[in-house]
Amino acid sequence: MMEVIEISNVVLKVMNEKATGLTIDLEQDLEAKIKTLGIDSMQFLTMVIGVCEQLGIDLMKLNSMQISTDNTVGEFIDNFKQYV
Amino acid sequence: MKKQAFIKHLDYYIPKDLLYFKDHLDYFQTEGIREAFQTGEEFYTFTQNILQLDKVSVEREMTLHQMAEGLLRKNVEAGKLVPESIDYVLLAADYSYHLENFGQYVQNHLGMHRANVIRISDNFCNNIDTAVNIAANLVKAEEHTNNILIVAGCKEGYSLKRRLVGSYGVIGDAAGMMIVSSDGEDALVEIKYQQTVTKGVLDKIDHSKDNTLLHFQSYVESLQKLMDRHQLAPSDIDRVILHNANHLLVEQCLINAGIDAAIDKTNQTKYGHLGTVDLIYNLQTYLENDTALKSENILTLNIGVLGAYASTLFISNPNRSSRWEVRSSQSELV
Repeated sequence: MMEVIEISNVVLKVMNEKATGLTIDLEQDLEAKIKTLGIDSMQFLTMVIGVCEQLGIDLMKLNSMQISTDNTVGEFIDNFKQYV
Repeated sequence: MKKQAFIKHLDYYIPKDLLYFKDHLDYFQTEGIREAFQTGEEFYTFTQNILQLDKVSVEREMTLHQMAEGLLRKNVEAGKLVPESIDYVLLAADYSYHLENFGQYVQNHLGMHRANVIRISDNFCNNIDTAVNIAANLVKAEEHTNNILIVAGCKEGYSLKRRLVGSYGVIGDAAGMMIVSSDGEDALVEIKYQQTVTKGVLDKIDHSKDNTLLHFQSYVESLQKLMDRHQLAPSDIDRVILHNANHLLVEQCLINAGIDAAIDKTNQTKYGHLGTVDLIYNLQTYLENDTALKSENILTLNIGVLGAYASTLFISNPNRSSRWEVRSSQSELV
């Protein structure tokens, strides 16, 4: 099983890459909702697909009622930890 | 001989008036509004960047009943709709309150006295797909059923209210009609397969919010089931016709399914998401523009926003008529 810290890093790396150069400030942005960071719905979907590819998760098994742009960055990262 | 089902005729009415988003952004200042977008600017950025849409069609004078009746009358006068030949009238408007009692009305006023009336409801924009499937099954299963009229339509008021479908699309006004027949001569397409996925748990979600991931998963599920059940390979799909909403999302679904077919997006930026009329409008536009008259496997994808997702496969008829009559679209109705 991947280490928790590694999952966080993978998710953050994909978020930064897929959300047009976004840089997450770990001190401040972890509490910010994803949509307030200027990430639109398609960037969000691309991010989710990218994270699943990186972590080897079946995208169809994600709980789509739970993972949304209403997540904070911290919640978004935590949501993926339960799938690996 | 086993009966088949074909789409024999399509027509639609789209009003001339347009509602430009930039003129209506004050809508987002309304107190208590709950939508996917907190501000008008956020909404406008979404429509520009993702939908590439800046306006929708709006009907300012007629009711949906009048739009649909005018469309049918025009087609009766043109000889495209023969009332006495119709065995069923399927009403497939977006909302249950649309076209109330319209079936009995057209029976009496347009002379469809033999027809049975069925209302398709609860699947929103997907009502048209459900209607196509039911019509195809009726034509194939019932010996004496040969012609079915489907009436579609969507209409809201002159504002953005009720027009926003989360971060998925913006609804425009339109009425449409389709004739499904057992007679394949000169038909437009054969109705081959359909796979619908419905998810009852979605009645609890706020459809005005961003449900992109949910839509993605459900689309993929519908598409995958269609392909698996009918042993279709991605290369069997020649053409994809999307509805006029978030095409970037649907393109992601196609990529996920390995489908690399040409995608027709001709109408994406014109009048908005016309709900149940999109399938009619887009299919007709594609067939009208396809002057090569090829036989193709055409896949359409559609969503009913509270949880119905449909993938439908049509086969275009290379012997269909290449001469189209004057369209009702953008013209005055009788």
